[in-house]
Amino acid sequence: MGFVVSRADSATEQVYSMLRTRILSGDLDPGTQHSVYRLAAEFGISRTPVREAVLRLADAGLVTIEKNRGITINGPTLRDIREIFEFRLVLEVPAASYAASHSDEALVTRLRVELDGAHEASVEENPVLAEAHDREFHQIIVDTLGNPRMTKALGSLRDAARLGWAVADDWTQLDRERTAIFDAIARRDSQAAGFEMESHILRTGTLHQQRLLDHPQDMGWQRRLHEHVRVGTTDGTSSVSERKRPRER
Amino acid sequence: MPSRTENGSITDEVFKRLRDQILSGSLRQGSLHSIYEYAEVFGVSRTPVREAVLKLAATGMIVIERNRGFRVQGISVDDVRTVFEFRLLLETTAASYAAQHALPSLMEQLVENLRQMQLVIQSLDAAKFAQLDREFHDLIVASLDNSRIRRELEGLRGATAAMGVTTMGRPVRAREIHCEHVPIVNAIAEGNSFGAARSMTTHLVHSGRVVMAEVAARSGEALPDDWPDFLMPSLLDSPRPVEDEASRAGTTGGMSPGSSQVD
Repeated sequence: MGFVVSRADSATEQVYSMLRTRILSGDLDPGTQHSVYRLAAEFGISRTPVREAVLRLADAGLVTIEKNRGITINGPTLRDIREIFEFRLVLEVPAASYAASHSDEALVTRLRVELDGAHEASVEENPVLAEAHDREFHQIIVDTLGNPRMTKALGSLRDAARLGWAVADDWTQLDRERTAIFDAIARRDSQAAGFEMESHILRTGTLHQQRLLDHPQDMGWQRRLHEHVRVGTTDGTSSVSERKRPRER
Repeated sequence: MPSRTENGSITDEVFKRLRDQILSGSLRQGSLHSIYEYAEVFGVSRTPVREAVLKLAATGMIVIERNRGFRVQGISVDDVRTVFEFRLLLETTAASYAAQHALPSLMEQLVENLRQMQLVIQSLDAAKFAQLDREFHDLIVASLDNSRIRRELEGLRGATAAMGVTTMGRPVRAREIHCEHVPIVNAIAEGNSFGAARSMTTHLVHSGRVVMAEVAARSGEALPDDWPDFLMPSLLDSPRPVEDEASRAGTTGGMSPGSSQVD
């Protein structure tokens, strides 16, 4: 926003982005402790910007602040992953439906750039770039709701899930899923867009959980929000009939 | 470095004073201020001012400009829109889910909450009422067993609280809120997901409109006439029982930020 960046602010910004990258890339192992004091020494700066950067990291859920003025690097647990991906369902399924019902040429063009970008990055086996395009793809969809608070929430959820960890085997499938979301939005099929978004998020969440386990297993949470997340859709005819049916007693 | 609590309470104090100055209009919309300036004015170090400014920036009331300080934005109708639209997504999902998965203990808590709210309306205790209202919404969202969603809701409620909205303190609105909570609890008790989502939608849309009207009365902005357009029509009752109260909130005086906390 400003043209000149003050010394303290830019130091905070630099430390924040450096630490964030190291955490997201797995360079700083989950569970390890680090002191603000030592980090400041390592970066060769005062403690204030490090402290502020650490507060922001804690806000994003990437670290926990300890009483002894140190931090512990957070790693996602199975529960974290369920919470992150369920939150994404609540946010992104209605967003995809809304995007489809309000889709225009400009939106489709922007989404196609990210879709193609993610595809090319996958072919070139560049996970960092693929993640950046995927992030943008999802962000554009949520942005159609015109709500900066939601945009920000999605950013934090993605940071917390460490999506950069996606492994190469998944890329073809992820590509297919993104294309299905894109197609539904392009043809203004809001129900299909919500459905495709739901499958994509559920699948990604499950992949993340499986990576934490020695062997794949059904985590049991995947369908529990299925009939509850369609509230915000402009065309929810099928879910309306589902909702009208009271619970059998 | 002062201890966390000490620092925290100074931050809170600075936050409240800055917020009240913005709401009262003594900090003009669009004006630019430095953290340094307010550290001097309040006679505190820059750290708590910086933290208070970050909190205010999170509410959208100010915007931080690097190397220059912060610019007063005031509160806009659009801020209110973003808060209530986000709440609609989270809370209608939660209400729908609760209708199928509510434990007997949750039902007892909700019914008890309604009963206490009824008593509090008669005693005109605005603070207690706000606490019960917060508890009501938190109970329903907690049924999702998702700490991130719960924290997000807390933040959203914090944002409207920080806006100094006083609507809830009015007895008329308090009675309406209670009346709107009843069908939500009934639908959850009956296991009626659609009914629970629908009643929650009606309630939040009504609250959103009332708060928007209050902010519009202060800022002179126009109100969106078709809000919220992203909800499917079937979730919104028509005619909406909203217009009366919205116009009433716009004309009734008695805005005293901080005196009766909302949310």
